[in-house]
Amino acid sequence: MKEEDEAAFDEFLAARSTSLLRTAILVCGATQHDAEDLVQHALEKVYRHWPRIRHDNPDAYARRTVVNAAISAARRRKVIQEITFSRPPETEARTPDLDLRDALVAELRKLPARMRAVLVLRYWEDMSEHATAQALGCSLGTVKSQAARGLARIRTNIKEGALV
Amino acid sequence: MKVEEALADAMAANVAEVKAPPTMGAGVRRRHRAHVIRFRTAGAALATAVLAAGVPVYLAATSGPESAGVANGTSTVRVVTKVTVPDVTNKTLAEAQAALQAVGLVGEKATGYEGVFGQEPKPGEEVETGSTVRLFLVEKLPNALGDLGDGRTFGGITLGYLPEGLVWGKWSNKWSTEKAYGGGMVYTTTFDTPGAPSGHYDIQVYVHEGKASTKVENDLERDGVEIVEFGDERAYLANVGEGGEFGQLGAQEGSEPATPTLGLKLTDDLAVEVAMSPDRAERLGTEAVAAELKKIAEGVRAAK
Repeated sequence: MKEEDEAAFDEFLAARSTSLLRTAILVCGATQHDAEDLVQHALEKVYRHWPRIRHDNPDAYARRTVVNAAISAARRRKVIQEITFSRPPETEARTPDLDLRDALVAELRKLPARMRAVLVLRYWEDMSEHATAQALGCSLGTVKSQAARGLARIRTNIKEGALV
Repeated sequence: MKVEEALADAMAANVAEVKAPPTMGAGVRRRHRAHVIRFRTAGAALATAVLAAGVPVYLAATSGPESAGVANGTSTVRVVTKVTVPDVTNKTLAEAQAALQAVGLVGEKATGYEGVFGQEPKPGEEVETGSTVRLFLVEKLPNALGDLGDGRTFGGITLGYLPEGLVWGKWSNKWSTEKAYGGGMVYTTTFDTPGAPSGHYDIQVYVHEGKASTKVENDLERDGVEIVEFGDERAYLANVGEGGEFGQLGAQEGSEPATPTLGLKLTDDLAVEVAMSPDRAERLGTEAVAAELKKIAEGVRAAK
């Protein structure tokens, strides 16, 4: 690979790797350590084809690779739940807002991996339905129905008057 | 607040502190070399680092913040106990709970889960006893059919052949298909690699009994599925996705559907599906996947 390509890849990493890592954690529900492993693995694929794809929307290619890897990882593992170990509470009571956030993330983790990926891309990455469909390699209809079903499930399971 | 806004907020908060390490680029390039090398020296064993699960405990005395500049001249000393986080990954939940309690961490009660597949902080890190250890858990598997011995006979069939090295996964489930097909039952279990992390399987077998076998009959008639014949029996071979969508075998690279599956109508009253984990399929390669699924299916007989 040419030096100029290498430099461009470094710039790409500096700009995108944190965002890709966050996406991977949200989609597969893994620890940061495992997610780093997964993102590195996916980026190795990007690096392999870098001279060819660097001028052709490498961002979308990288995200697609990371999301697909995260979906497979989540499926392999049947990620269902995480629990927390700590000393009995001596800290102050948590605000309801924080509890709601935790509950939402817990509900998100219970969804099938692909449905979760749709919600992450649509509502966290704020991608359009069309862009989400392209990133996941599925139809616009699938994105719409998976997003609607995912939100409905979360709404049903969170008994919180604040949500509509 | 709308659920999508609340969710976006929760997701943002969940990963707000995550930053990619500066070593990411070096890691990617190292993997790239490893990838190239792996092709040249196929079969070389990978070195695996094993973390010791030692749990030394020590006390550190530090002055608390309140000791500085106290008017009456007394000072308070706060005792901070530090512990080394034990390695509880791939342990059962009960073992993990015991190991964490042994070093002074107290956990929430949790039931319905059995295996730990990840933890944060990582083993070997030193934390104060007040800190939090998060365990990532795999759901406890049901045991609807009881002890199946070697697992080869269940739901009215016997598996004559299983790939070498696989053992019964020690779980099973069954459910009624009354709603979907007006009767019938499905039975399932898996065969795994001994010592594989909890939740990983190699081969899963489903038996569709009575009207439940309609599902396999319908799948055999799908457009574009690959049909293989064994004597009088017909079977389909496909990659099946999470939502039950069908694709061609071997199309798992980076896109779905991902689980190679063979469906077979055994008798008027019995149909069988043999599914392979995407993990195993990736290791074997498409041709070996098809060959292995066919060999397992050929060995299936109705139990006497």
